[in-house]
Amino acid sequence: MSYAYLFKYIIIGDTGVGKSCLLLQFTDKRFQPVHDLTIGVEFGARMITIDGKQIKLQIWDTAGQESFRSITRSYYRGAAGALLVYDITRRDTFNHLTSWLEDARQHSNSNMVIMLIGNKSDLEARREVKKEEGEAFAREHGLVFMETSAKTAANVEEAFIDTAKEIYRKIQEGVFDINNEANGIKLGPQHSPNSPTSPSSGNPLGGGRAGNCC
Amino acid sequence: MDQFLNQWQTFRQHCESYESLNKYCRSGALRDSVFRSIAWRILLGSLPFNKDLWMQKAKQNRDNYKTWKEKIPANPREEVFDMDLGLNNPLSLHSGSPWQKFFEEQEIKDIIGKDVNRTFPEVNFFASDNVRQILSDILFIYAKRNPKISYRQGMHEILAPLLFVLHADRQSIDHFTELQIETDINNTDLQLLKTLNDPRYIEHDAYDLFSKAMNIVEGFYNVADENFADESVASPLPASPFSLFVSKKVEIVKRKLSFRNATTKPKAPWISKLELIYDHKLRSIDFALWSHLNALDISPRLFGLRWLRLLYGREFPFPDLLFLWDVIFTDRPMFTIIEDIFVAMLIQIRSLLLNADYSTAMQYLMRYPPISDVQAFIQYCLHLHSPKVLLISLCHSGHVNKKN
Repeated sequence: MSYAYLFKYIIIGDTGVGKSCLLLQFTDKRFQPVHDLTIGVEFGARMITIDGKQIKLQIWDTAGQESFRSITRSYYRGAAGALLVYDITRRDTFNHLTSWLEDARQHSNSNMVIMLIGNKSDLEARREVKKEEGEAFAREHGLVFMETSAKTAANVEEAFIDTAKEIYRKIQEGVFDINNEANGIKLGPQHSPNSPTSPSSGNPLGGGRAGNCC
Repeated sequence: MDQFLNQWQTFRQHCESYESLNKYCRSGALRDSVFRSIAWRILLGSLPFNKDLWMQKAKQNRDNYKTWKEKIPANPREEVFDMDLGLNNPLSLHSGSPWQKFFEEQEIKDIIGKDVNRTFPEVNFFASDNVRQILSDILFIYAKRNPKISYRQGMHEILAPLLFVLHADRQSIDHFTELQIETDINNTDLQLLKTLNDPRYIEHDAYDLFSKAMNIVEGFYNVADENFADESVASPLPASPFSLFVSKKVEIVKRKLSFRNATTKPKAPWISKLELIYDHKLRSIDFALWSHLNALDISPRLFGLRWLRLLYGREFPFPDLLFLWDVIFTDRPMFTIIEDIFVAMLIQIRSLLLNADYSTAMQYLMRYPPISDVQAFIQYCLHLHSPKVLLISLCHSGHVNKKN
């Protein structure tokens, strides 16, 4: 399926905050109460539409444990968007945001859009972090903020799509250099003047599908 | 009951040499056996080959674990009274303070506990608090005894199947021995089986088995110092439209390889292993597939870390996984069959991969499609492992097509 742009995302945050569940809810529209631990990275992809344009999201979901940090860092470079996730029922996951953010800022390109996400909003009774605190943190660090529930799917679509809208807006404003793929953005076949034919003619293995390269 | 006796006699016969035990395990005979945990203990070196020494060795292993479990955890309240109060108080930040040690250990326990609660959520056995406590305690003692690795995510999924097998065998053997009339199986053997499957020591036995299994995968857990950033990983997007041209891509990969070799920084063992698997084994066995994955810029690091770290634990349903481990454990001392399994798994889904774009291929690799005939798959792995020994007169592509 062809698309106008491809955006690359990364999901980061402490172990057990629901990163993989958010991804699963977004790509498969289902919830898994106990998700297997992410070892290294997980991958997901989905097509969305913004401003009438097809946009393909490629999402890298990372492991939360400290020992994977060197691996996680290598994914920042080349990501256009990041979902920084904490768990509203676990104060420590909120306290660690600063260290995640420092890491992200240091290893990513400066235009990367970061969405702060307070997940597990369905567990109101066990809430340890007020919504206002999340909002304040986001304001202070210039992030977009949202509370989500991977379980009920509340705000999950919005989290991924609003991040894409923000990236798209930055493209329109010329902030992103879309020809530099290190920014995590790639022009799709709909954009390139001659590419719809090039995969079929150039790649003997790919079966000639448009968008074969991604 | 006859069945039990027969199984025991067959197993005993096959325990007479490594060659015959290997053959037995590789044939899939352990799939319906209640002696899998004993076979694993022998293969991994927890028990010696000589049956007469089993009791003694098992006792020794258990005593060791018992001592560690008693002595390792910090207990500041029981420290000697004359210890300097500047050190022995909960507010001391000195690294020699028993309280500091105590708090650090609580943190490790916390981390382990969170992961243990997520162990094989689909297998009921692991939902029990008792089982979770055993898993946590073993991982904690291992972490303390191996401070360089300590605890890292994934280790709990190496331990879990081992504990499961010990538990399942104990249950079955309990069941059989309760019904047993002494004439069926001689008393010495009966006592031996009862001792080896003593429920009081399941944790001790699991620890020993786990520490042996960790020797196989240890290198795959060593990532902390690694400069992971590699061009194909840092930017999973293809470098340019030209990357679609395979020949051009091969040139790029060649250059990458020579550059890699020129760097002085030692590679993490799992990265060297993946390079060997991918750029050497896969390339020579299935060049078309290797070229295609390279053209898509799919680095084996993206999915391979999990495959190796968990010894394929997520890629196979539980019973098939145990069979796969039967076979892996027979490949002492280097366990290089792990590499052949990796290659076989890629070739198994080659037609899916060859027709896939980047996202689709990544999804196949990250959520590996079920293998319907694991027996045939394992035969193929063994064939790749030693084609001369196991003469299968099928070329690899023909074989795969037939198996599909």
